[in-house]
Amino acid sequence: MATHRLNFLWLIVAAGILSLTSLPSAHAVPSYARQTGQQCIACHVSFPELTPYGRYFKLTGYTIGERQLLPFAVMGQVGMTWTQQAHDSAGVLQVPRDGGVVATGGSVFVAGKATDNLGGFVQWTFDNFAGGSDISGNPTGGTSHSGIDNVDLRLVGKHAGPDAKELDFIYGLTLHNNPTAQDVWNSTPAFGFPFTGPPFLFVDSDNATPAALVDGSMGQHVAGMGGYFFWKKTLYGEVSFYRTADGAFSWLRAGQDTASDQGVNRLNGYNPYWRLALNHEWGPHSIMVGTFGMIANKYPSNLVPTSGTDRYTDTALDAQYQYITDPHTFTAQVTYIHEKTDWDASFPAVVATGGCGVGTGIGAGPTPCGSSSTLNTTRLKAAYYYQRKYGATAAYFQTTGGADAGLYPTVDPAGNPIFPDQRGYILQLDYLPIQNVRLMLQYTGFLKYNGASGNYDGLGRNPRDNNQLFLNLWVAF
Amino acid sequence: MNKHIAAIIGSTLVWGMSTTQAAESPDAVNKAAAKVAVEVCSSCHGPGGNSISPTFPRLAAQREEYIVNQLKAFKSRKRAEQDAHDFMWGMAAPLDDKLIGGLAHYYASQIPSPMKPGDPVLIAKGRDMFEKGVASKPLPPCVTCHGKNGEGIGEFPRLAGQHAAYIVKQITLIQSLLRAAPVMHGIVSDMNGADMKAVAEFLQSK
Repeated sequence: MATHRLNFLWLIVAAGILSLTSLPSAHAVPSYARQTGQQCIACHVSFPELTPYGRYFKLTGYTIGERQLLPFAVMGQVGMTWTQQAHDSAGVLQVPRDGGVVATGGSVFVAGKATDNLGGFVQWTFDNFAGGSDISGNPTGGTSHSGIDNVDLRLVGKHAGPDAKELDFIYGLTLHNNPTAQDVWNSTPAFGFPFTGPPFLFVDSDNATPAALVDGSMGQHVAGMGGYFFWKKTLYGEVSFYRTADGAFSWLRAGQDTASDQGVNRLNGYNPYWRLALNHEWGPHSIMVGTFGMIANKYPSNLVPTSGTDRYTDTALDAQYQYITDPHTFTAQVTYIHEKTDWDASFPAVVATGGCGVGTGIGAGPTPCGSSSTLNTTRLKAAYYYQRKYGATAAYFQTTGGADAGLYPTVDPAGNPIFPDQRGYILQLDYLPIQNVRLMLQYTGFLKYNGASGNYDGLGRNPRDNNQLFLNLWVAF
Repeated sequence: MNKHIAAIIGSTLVWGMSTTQAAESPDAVNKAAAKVAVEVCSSCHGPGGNSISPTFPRLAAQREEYIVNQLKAFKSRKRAEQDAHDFMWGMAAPLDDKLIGGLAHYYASQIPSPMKPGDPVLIAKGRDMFEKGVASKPLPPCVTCHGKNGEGIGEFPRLAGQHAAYIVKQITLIQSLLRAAPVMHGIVSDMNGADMKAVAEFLQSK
């Protein structure tokens, strides 16, 4: 307990020092702010959520402002996590460094304008726990700690008629490595809420919540290239194609584990992604209603690119509302993703335990008990900020899907059907003493876990035992 | 790994090489200013200076002299309230005097679109204050400097058709000395919130 108190004090002192040392320099902000001379709030409600101007800045290829000689920025996070029940039923600690300070890592950005028509960002991240961690929180594994993170490079054009008072069309090409990282509304997965979370969950072989392929599962695994347009700030459309980031595109997944069976997702050919959004701005309000999705053919194993592929069809609906004034700001996002997977290559498969499969599959990768499956993800989030400095956020998340003992092999002695369902909420308080420092207190509560509202592992563990309180300091300069 | 690092260093160098061309002739200056207004300024100040969000002032038909003075004040950082610091210091920094003049000319030439009028009772009260002032405050008639219909005179700004919320915010900033406006400090010192709201509603309705 004494150690925990010391750690907490250390975190507060660090936050205070960072805040104080940062105050005199209004220009100690990331490279886009240095490029435009504007402050973070011009583009962000609170980073990374974008304002209407932030969306415009991104869609015009990050080209507003003066090109910088050294367009660098850095970012880092340090935090503490307290888990409701960090020990398992045998009394063994299963959450590394629970109650201790954890510096998860940091990023360096090369970000900004190259020409009036070319700009972007390349994020390189050092992840202290990229290879995993032992229960004491010591980094383990042979994976590189340093690797590429999000990338978005754009070549843009702008069109305005002879008497136009604003741009009629913005259009462009994008090269990126994470589906929806190129999007400008924060109701899409790559920059959706939560923007960050605890580095360690309860160590449970089954606690990896299934996620749709478009929902963050391919970040830094693929190369995405496409074209987009934004017409009169009203209609946005985009078509992109994703392929495995190998060969000439291998730098887009640098640092990833490409040597393991499931180290990265491997796609067959070029897989289409679409995005359509209707946007309207009036007074201090803005609203967007849209859809996005993709159809992807994925090899069951990264190491067997000669097998057949499973087909993932992801279809999503999303909406965002923002009310931005001084001093009150309110924002809300809703996201619904439906995924249907046809296990054309993986079914029928042999399942070692549970005994649903009798076929051969490809001998690696997913082991579904059915020829297809579905997964539905819903997220809602509402946030209020006062003076863009004090924030409160409430969010709800839910994943549901069909039972499949091969895909979701929870050990359940009662023999109940195995569902991927998860449901919970997040409550968060934020304090931004200056615009590029975020001190946040985040509470994640689980109402359903691994398909059960109670005793989800058959050993008496309840979803709420995984609840976590996360205190985090997030700094970007 | 070395190839990746080399690629990033290479892209950084490309990013770092910069050239800019300054337009010289009056026509070229106006053309360059219109391009900047359409491609950059309109993202906040709206098409032709008719901004949608009350966070950003409407600039259509604004006095040319006033815009020049304000852009120079942003550039020199003499105007230093929070929004000036957050939004405009950076935007004004790369502007030279010619482009500042071109932008002022552009916005002074634009046609303001009508705003939706608010509460008629409040508007009537605001009109009275704007035209006659309030002797007991004392608040002199605003028309003296800002024109009969708030259209502005010389370097005194046009206020007609401005967002009411923006006007209230500016009077508050001037009153609290957060925005430098030497002529106005004494004039608005006795205005209360209700006064500001009434005058602002009247001006938005013009």
